[in-house]
Amino acid sequence: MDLQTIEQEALEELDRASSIPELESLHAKILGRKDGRLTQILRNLATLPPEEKKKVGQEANTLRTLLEERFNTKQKQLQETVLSKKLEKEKIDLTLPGIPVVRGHSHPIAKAIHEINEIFSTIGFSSVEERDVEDDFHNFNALNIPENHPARDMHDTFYTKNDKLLLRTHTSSVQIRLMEKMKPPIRILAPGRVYRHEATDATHAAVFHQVEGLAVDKTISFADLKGTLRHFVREFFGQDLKIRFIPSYFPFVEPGAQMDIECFLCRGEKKLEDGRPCNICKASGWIEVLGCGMVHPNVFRAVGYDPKKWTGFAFGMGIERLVMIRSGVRDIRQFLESDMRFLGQFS
Amino acid sequence: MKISVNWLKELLPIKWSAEQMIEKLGSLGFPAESVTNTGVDVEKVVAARILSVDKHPNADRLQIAKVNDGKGERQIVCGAPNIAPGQVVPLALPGASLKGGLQIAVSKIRGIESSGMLCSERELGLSESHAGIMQLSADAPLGKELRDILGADTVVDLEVTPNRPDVLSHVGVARELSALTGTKIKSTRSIWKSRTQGNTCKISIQEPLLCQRYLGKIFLNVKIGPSPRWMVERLTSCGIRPINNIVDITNYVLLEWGHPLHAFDLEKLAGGEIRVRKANAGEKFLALDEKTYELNANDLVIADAEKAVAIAGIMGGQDTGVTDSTTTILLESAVFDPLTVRKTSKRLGLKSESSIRFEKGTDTATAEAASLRAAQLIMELGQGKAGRALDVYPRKSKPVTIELNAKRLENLIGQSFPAKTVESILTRFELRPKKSAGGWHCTVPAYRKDLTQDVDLIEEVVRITGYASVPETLAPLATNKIPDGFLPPNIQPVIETLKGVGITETMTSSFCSLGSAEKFGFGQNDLVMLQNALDQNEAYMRPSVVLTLLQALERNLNFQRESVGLFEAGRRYTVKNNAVVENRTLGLVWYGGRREKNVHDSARDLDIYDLKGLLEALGIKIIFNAISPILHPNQSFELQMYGQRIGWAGLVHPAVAHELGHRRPCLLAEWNLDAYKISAKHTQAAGLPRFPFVERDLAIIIDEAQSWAKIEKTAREAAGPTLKSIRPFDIYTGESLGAGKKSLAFRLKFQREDKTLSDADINDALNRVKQALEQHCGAHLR
Repeated sequence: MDLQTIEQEALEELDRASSIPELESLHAKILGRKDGRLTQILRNLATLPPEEKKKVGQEANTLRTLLEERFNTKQKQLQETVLSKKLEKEKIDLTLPGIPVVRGHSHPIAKAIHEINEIFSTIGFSSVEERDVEDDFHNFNALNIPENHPARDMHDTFYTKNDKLLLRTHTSSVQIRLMEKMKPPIRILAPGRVYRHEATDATHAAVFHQVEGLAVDKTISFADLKGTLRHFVREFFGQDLKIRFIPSYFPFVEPGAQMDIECFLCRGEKKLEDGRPCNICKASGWIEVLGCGMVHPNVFRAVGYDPKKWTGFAFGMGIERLVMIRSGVRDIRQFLESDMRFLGQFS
Repeated sequence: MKISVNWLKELLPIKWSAEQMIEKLGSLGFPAESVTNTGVDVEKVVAARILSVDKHPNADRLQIAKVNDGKGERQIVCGAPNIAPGQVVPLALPGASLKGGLQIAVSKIRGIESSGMLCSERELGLSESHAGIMQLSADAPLGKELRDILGADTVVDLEVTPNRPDVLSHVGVARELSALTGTKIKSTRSIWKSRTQGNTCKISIQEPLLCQRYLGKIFLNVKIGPSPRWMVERLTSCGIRPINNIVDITNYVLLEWGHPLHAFDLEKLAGGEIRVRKANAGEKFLALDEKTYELNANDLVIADAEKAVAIAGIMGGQDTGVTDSTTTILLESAVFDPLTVRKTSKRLGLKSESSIRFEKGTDTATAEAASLRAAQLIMELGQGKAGRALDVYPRKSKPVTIELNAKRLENLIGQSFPAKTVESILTRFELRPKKSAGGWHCTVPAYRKDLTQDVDLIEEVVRITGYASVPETLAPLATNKIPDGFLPPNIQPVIETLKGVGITETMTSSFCSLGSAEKFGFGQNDLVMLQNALDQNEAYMRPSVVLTLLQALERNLNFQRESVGLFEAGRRYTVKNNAVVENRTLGLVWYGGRREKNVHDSARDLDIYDLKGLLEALGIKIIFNAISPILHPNQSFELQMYGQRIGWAGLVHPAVAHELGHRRPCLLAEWNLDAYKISAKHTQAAGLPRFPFVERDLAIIIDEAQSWAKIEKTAREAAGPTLKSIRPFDIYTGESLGAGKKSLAFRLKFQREDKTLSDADINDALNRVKQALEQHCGAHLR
């Protein structure tokens, strides 16, 4: 067979080849090491006269290069076809739901406590915990609320039948517990459960949660209290809401204050965009968030601190209230009902 | 405390609007709970009398009223059904502009001319009431502008904290605004001149510790009748019901000065005598509220020669009160011991405007001022003639003095204050500051019982300069080591793990019933019991977190949930050796399916191994046989950590499950979180193995009762330390194995630290394992 015929036939067959095995046997037939047509011609070159040998040799090698190239191209083409067929075959309905990974939800109060702990830990506050069942001294007397003081009327109290104990009405009792055992400087946060003996409704619960904050050192000032709470509001509400402090009365602080934040819904405008009065802040533009102040000298005396040597600030906030404000929860009772239709809304 | 803005402006001449006043009072610490506008502030609305009412010819719902507007007759078309001839009503004349922008003009309504409009309270901005046309009193002068008849006023209900009884009065509020602005309160000159003739009264204080001062003023020729209109209006708008001129004056002065007064009919006092004494045990007293109270020997009373005539500071008596026929009165203004008043008031459940103030503390100077003010009103209004004045004042108190250090003020607030400013504020609070070394020496006025130490004065200064002007700073981060027992264990990894398998974090009440605790095996002596529970089902503190979680589960099952996983990191409360013990506790309730049926997998119910795997992942060791009446006796564990028993876990007992109406498996676990404190050990890293491991599988047939624990222990002992792990992967029972037998397949993994294991090494070890299993566990190799 001459080179021309080989070339012509090879190209035609190459064109027709439709599978990888077909292509491989064609390759063996033409270029196979053993008895490929072109291989044979190259092997027989030595028997040709020098003139012809050179010419045929050159032409045969050129053809071999050409055919190898064509084979490669064809092979790639066929491989691609095979792959794309395979991919086509693997088409499935991706709109079906994934294999379920069930994740539990967080309780909004537990989550808020965790968040508040983190916010204050960045400015050096450690989170501590203390008992719910307290005695009169730590819940009242040491906090400058002696027996028969009218301020006790602000705390409707549950009493237990065991040893005249009570259920703490505020987390402020932790201030006393801690200061009895620790010397300043102090910076703590104390989240926990508190109890008020009152009928429950959408905004009042007998069992709820507070976070207490306390800082005691030689030069703690009211300005430090304001700066600290500014940090808290910024982080907790995620925006720079205006805050204001107005005088208020808690027997264990003096000066005492209440901190309000600008209503995040109407942004202090008192009314909504459609002109209706804002229902979140009751058209006042402000929302009461917490009570705070400078630790009262009588509290320091009760724990054996010298009020001339130490100053401190304290604050206490109701967590349910904060979460109700932030997440638009309308009924405080939902927090202790464990209704999955409620909890399932929180990640 | 309800405050009339008009009244306040009469005491303190400042030109603020009601809104400004409310805002300033808020900034001083007296926020408004509510604001009510009384009176009318629209023009061209006059009083008119309805002469006749006829049906409108063209409209069923409308009527035609003829009215007299004081100048003549007018015809008005009106839609309200409550009008009738003879009524005096507000008439808006053409040109009037009402609330909500309504303009009144002469117009034709359904073909009939109407020259004005009759108004409801809402149209006048008086209230939200739109029930019908407002009715005026029958003697209202016709044609008179309504705002002159009703007098516009704003009544603010101020929130006053219990430390400031002095602000429960108009004078007290005026003092606050006076301190803020520097404007002085108007003083009225007294016209009282006592006489030394006429009726007298012998006043004796038998309890000088409980009654610091008793002022009595006698009035003669008293004429009891109604009070003038302005006084009635003020009392009414401040929430007090008018009774008669004398009682009204005592109430008026109470609202103005904050000091309670009481008027006795002097002729009804036996022996014409007043004794301030302790009540006799069992003494009965008929009070003005027409109820009889039984007193005890701790109560303080005002008595005449025979019996109690008032419970001191709380309420007067029915028999000696002022009536229409009274002509001589004794006006009492006294200072009683706050604690005594508070205790009696609490015990009797009897609260009055008077007791509220006495229990927070009153003072001798205000008692005198109030007495004089009442005398002045009685005489000005021509309701009585001055008689004798009596004053028993056994115990004069020294004024409180406080040293305010300027440096201390600045350090505590973190702001600097010009000395002039501080001094001026102290002066405006009537603290009479005198310069001293480093600050001021202040004398506290008697009415400010709340000011006892320097921080109290510091607050007064900052209230006036404004909390808003205090800068915002952050103190340095220094802190001492927190003592043991205060830092809670870090359970965040536990929480994340539980959430990761689909269990939701929750919080449940701390309260439970006795019955529910008994189901868990607790007796009354193990429990913290409340003295004043709100509800019998909430009379105890929960001794278990799972207890309240089961109630939470029930709620969700009632709402059609098929599967529920709930956990709570909370507290449980028990009594041990007569002491209350609180534990930080994790409770877990896991009900229903581990997996619901879906396109990829079939459904699978939870089983005890789900719980075991979860607890093991949390580093908890499982020991068998927890004893709890609510758990399945053969599917429950005791939990251990660091060698300590920390809790229990298991499947709900079938009988309990039946009782609870459970239709699917329910797993429970509860453990003490305090154990996590010990876990602060740091991990010590081991070197990585350098030689490959080899795995071999074995299958054996053993008695069905044979435990895996025994197999594992036997195999490990036989194989020695090259056996790194052993893991069962198949258990099978079937007839082919014979009754009471099971087939168990497991995989063994061998590895050495010092060399690659040879086949001979592994076969050796395997043979030892096989032999031991045959010998000790009765195993047959498959």
